[in-house]
This record gives sequence, C-alpha cells and structure tokens, in this order.
Amino acid sequence: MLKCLVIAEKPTAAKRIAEALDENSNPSEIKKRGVSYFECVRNECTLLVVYALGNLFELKQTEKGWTYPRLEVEWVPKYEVVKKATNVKPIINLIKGLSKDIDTFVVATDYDIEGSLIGFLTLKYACKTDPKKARRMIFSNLTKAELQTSYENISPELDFPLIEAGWFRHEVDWLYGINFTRALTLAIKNTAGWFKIISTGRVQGPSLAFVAERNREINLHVPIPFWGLSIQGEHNGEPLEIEYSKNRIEFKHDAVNIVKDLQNTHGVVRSVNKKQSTLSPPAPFNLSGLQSEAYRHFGFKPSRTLALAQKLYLDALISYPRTSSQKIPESIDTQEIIKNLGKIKTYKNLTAELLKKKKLIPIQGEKTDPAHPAIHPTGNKPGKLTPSEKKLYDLIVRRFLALFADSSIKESLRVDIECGEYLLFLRGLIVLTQGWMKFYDPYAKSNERELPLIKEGDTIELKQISIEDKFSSAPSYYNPSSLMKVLEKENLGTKSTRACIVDSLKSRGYTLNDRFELSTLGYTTFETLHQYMPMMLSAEFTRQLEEEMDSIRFEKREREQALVSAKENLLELLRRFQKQEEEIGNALVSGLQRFWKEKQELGDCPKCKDGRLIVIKSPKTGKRFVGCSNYKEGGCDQTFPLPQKGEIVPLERFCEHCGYQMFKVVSRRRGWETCVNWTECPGRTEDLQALEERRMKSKENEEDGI
Amino acid sequence: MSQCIICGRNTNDETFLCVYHKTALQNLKDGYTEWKNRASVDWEDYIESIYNLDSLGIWVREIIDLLKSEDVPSGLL
Repeated sequence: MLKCLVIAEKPTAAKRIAEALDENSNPSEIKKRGVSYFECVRNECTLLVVYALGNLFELKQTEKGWTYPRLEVEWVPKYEVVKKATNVKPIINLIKGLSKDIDTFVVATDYDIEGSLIGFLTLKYACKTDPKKARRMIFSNLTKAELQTSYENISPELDFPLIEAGWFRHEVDWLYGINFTRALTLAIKNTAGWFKIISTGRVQGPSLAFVAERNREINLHVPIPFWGLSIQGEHNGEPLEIEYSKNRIEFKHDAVNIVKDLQNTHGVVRSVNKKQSTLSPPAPFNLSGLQSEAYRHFGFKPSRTLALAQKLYLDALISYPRTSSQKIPESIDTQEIIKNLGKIKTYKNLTAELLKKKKLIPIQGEKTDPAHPAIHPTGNKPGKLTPSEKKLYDLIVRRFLALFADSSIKESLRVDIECGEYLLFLRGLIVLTQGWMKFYDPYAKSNERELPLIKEGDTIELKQISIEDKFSSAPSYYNPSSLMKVLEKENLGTKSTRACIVDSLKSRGYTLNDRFELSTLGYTTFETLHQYMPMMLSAEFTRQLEEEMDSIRFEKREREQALVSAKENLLELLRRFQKQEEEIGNALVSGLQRFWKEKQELGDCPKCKDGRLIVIKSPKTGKRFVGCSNYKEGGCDQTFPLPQKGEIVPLERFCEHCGYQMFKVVSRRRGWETCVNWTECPGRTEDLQALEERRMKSKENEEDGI
Repeated sequence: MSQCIICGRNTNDETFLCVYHKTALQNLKDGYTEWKNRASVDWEDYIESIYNLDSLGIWVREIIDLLKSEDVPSGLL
C-alpha cells in the first residue's frame, strides 16, 4: 500500500483532516514521545497526518554576535532561536522519522502566505524531501465535505510564488526588526552602559508614527467656542424638538440676537419633505470588517477576534478567517448552509423566512482575495462554546443571513419652519421595511424618530429657546480597531500581522493603555527616529517593501533579486545610523531618564511641600512604598503604603475625594485605579473593606485546603 | 543645549521650551485671538474657561500651569 504524509498546520486541523479523509471516519491517533499523528486509509493509500504547530523553523543569523549589521540568515529549528519552544523538537523528530519511507507528500496547511511557507519549510528541513514533488490541498474551511473535495481535486504542486513572497517577508522583517532594534539598543548601551531593549520594525515604526501624530494633535488642542440653539416647540399640544438650520453659530452675540428674535414667537411650516432611501445589506465579512464590528459591539481587541475566529475555524464552524475577500462565490452551497443553520434553535425562524425566497443571492462586497471567500458559517452545529466564541459566532451567522435578505427602506422627513428671517428644521425617521436589519438584529440599529402629523401652513409655537455653549474637540485617540483600519488603508502589514503589530505598541511600553496614549518611552523612540532615522517611521518606505512582496507573489520579480536591493537599502540606513550613534544614544538616554523618573513619581509631597512622592523599594524587606524625595536631605518622613503586586502606572489625574494623585495597578490583563492616599481616602473605604473581605476569604480557603 | 522647563526634553530654544510646549504656547496665543473675536473675553477669563474644559490638550494645560506659577520665565508671552 502507498504511503502518504499529510502536513497540517495545527493539531486540531490534523485531526479534522484525518477524520474527513479516513474511509471509516475513524482514524487512529498514534502517540510517540509526547506528540502524536493520525493514521487513516483512503483509496488504498495509508495517510499519515502530522501537524506543524505553526512555524517549526525560524531565521537565525549565520555570523555570531549580538550586534549589527547582520544580513546573512539561515532557517533553523525554532528551538534553536526561541528557548521556550521546547515542544517543537519532538515534532520535528517525529516528522523526520515518518518521512523515511513515504511515497507522496501533501501540504494541507492554511492556504495563505504563512501556511504555504510552513508547509514548504517542513518539507525541506524536516521531511528532507524535494518540495517540487509535493502536492497541495487547498480548502477554505475544515468541514468534511470541503476537505474531501480538496483531496480529490488536489493540486499537483505547491504555490511557489506564494512561498517565495512569504520567505521574502520573513527575511525582510527579520533584517529590519533585528538590525534596527539592536542599533537602538546598542546606541543606549554605548552611551550610558545600560541595556534596555528599544524595539522597532518595518511596520511597527510607521504605526508608532501614526499614534504619535494623533497624540500630538490631542495634546496641543485648544478648544475654540461656538454656539448652538436648543429649541422646544409645540404642535397641537405635542412637544417637539426643533433644530436651527445652522448647527454652528460662530459668534456669541449672533446667538444672543437670534434667541432674542425668536423668543415668544411662532413659526409657520413652509414645506414637508419626505424622502425614501433604500439601504442594501452590509457586505460579507472579511477579517478587518469582522474585527471592526466585534470591537464596536463587544469591545474585543482585533487580536482577540482573530484568535476567537481561528478557534471557530478549527472547530469547522466558520470558513478560514484570514481573508480580505468580501465575496461569497457561487461555488459555496449557501442554501445548504442556511438549511443547516436552521437546525440551530436561535436561527430557526430567520432561516425559514429566507428559505421561502425563490432565489437566494447574497450581496457581495468589493474586496477580493484569490485564496479564500469571505468569512461565513459552515452550517455545522456548534458544540460547547465559550461566551466570547458564542458572541462572535452569532455575529458571523447573523451577518451571513443578512446578506440574503431584502434591502431595508427608511423614510426621512424634514419639516422646514419659517420664523421671521430664520429657518428651523424638524427631522424624523421611520423604518418602512426592516429587510436585512431584522436578520442582523441586534447589530443593526436605526435611530427612529417619529413625528406627529404636520402639514404645510401649520403653526409651530416656540416654547423655550436657549443657547448651548459648544467647543471644537480634538480628534479621538486611536483604539485597536481604528488603528488597524489606518494600517489597512495605508496598506501596511497584512491581514494576519496587523493585530499583533497593534498589540506590540502596548507590550513594548510605547503606549499606556488601549486608548493608545503615548508613554514617554513611546515619545522618546518616536522623536529619536523622527530626528535621525525618519525612514524608519515612513509609511511610504514600508509600503514599497509590501509592493515588492506582491510583485514576487505575482511572479514579476525574483525573491533573491528583491532581497539584494532590500539589503543594500538596509545597509545604507545602518551606515547612516552608525555615523550618528552617539547623538541617537544621547537622545534615547535622556528620554529614558525622563521615562523612569515619571514612572516613579506620584505628585508633590503633602507634608514638606518641597519634595516629590516617589516609589521606593525597602532594602530591608524588599517591599515597595511611597516616600518623599526629601527624606535624605530634608528629613521628610512622609510615607504611604502601596499594593505589592502589579505594575504601578502614575496617572495624570487627582482623586476626586482627597485630591491625591491617582495611579493604576496593572496586574496581568487586569488593571485597577486608586489614589496615593488609598488606605485613608474617605472615598475608598468600601474598596478597602472589599479587599479585606477577599483577603479573609482566601485565607479561610487556604485553611480549609481549597 | 538646555532642557525644557516643563518636561525636561532637550531644547535649543531661548524660551526654554521644547518644540511641543513652544507650539502649545503658540496655540494658546492663537486661541485667545479666536476667543476674543467670538466671545469678547479677556485673557484671564479665556484662561479660566479653557482650563476647565476636558478637551484642552495636556501640553497647553502645562503651559497654563507654568504661566500661573512663580517660575514663569520673563518674556514668555
């Protein structure tokens, strides 16, 4: 019997593939030294399905030394680069061992740049076989039918342009990330002797620049006044909220004069304008659309949405999530999916309504992806899902059902009221036909506002008019979702990498919170790069590299050729960096000093009024507390206790109860805010009691052995 | 090279303000022209009004704090 080795990307995918391809749907799982593979039989061929746990191989410099420039790299097993990746070694050994007497190799990883590269590297370095002889399974979901079809119509060769593009991206990201991070870090070390990693990267640099620019606008904002009018009217005894035709009055005296003129008058309805508008269903979800909507409705960060969607994909509940496509191709049996969704109680009525239609044609979006369709449910019935998975699944299902529904029809109404020389408006909105909004409920909302029956010539009494002070506002801080949208618009990063890049700004300490407020460290890195290496912040520069990657993918350029020019550019940039290393080092050191000082300071000392409150660690007990900076010189003995766990992050706010500076305690993913005076603060006695109760309870549990 | 009297950033400016705080000071002055035209307020009322607004930028707020303090360098305004 022939023997075939099938390479999947993850254990769950390997299991699903084996179950789908085995003639009896009952593959055997064979365990060896802590890892396993699946064995099954199909068409008189024994299939050994192994998994790769993501990338089993990583790039490593060929020359030794933690310095720069380092331009030559090689692929090595991941555990040689990432010390924690100990689980990779037994997998590589297993694949190596199984590959010895194999007739055919099949790559069944996700069909995208990353997945194709994983398959290629596993073949080349673990199986030690010629990737040109391997075959490729291409699928967009992990349902049995899709996997079987994919195997029956297997591609006779790998997608080499995709692999080459992935290889280029990995190598360029490594070259720019490693070399510039080392350059910045060593500039500090050579200046002050400190070792503090300052990271940057091909996409991280421009992302930091977007955040810094937005912060700059917010921090420099001076609100400029303007005025609006609040007008309460009445028609046949019914109260009405009326608008002035200009929603911005530039000068206060104008606003005052208008109010004087309108006081104790009435208006006459000059026209009633009704307008019907048709609203088509929203486009099918691609990854960024799903991430944006999940953030809006559930507050999920893009990286979390991706992780949840990946889990739903591995459970064969939805199609492959890393897609740019907003299209549902005809080849997908949407009717069958809707029928199967009808077996789920929640969607029974909605699907029944859709299935009454003569034809089921989904609305399509504009964006395409050659590899995968838009994200859609497979129709498989979900097992036990976590609350977050349930929410995301529901969003995906309802969006999918909405695609087949009719347009929604709204009627907007504008009543023009003449009042002397002034024009006032009355607006209303009603939904005439719900259409797709019914299917996408509760995620689609219309701000309906019904109006009483009003006709031309009617009189509207103006009952109360007041001036509203308004001010121009600064732009909003980025949130994970809006920053992702900017990166997508600027064509920076890929659908798979953007969420990680957005997260990295926080994990590197460049931003303080999910509002993307820049920390002093973030400013320091941005300002230094901006002054000395602006290219590293340039969206245009990194976009050029993305374009190179696309030209490799579409076989317009060779990887080696593109790499040579990328390395030449990098070397030139690094030479320029080296010439300015001292200045760059000084700038970073001075910024870091400010950063560390700010992290330690918690406002003015209330006792001596001269010193600053700083975080101190007791050399005797190792415990931290707040003390006065004047302790040694001025003898000020003011102290405050501090929570002993979590990172202390000073906030630019003061306690509303006692006036002391606020700070945040960040422990793992959670954070809580309190003030320096937290143990004595009159507004925090309840918090303190609750803390005491939690302590008592955990002590009791310990004593009870729970 | 000296340091910004507000944030400690390096600066070559004779006002001892870094590029951010210098721009904040300019924005504060420009803002006053707008407020005077639109709402006929004097400088003190202007400062008090904007200081109470949440949307006031933090660097502008720091400039106001400096102007209110005793350490304000001569010729800053």
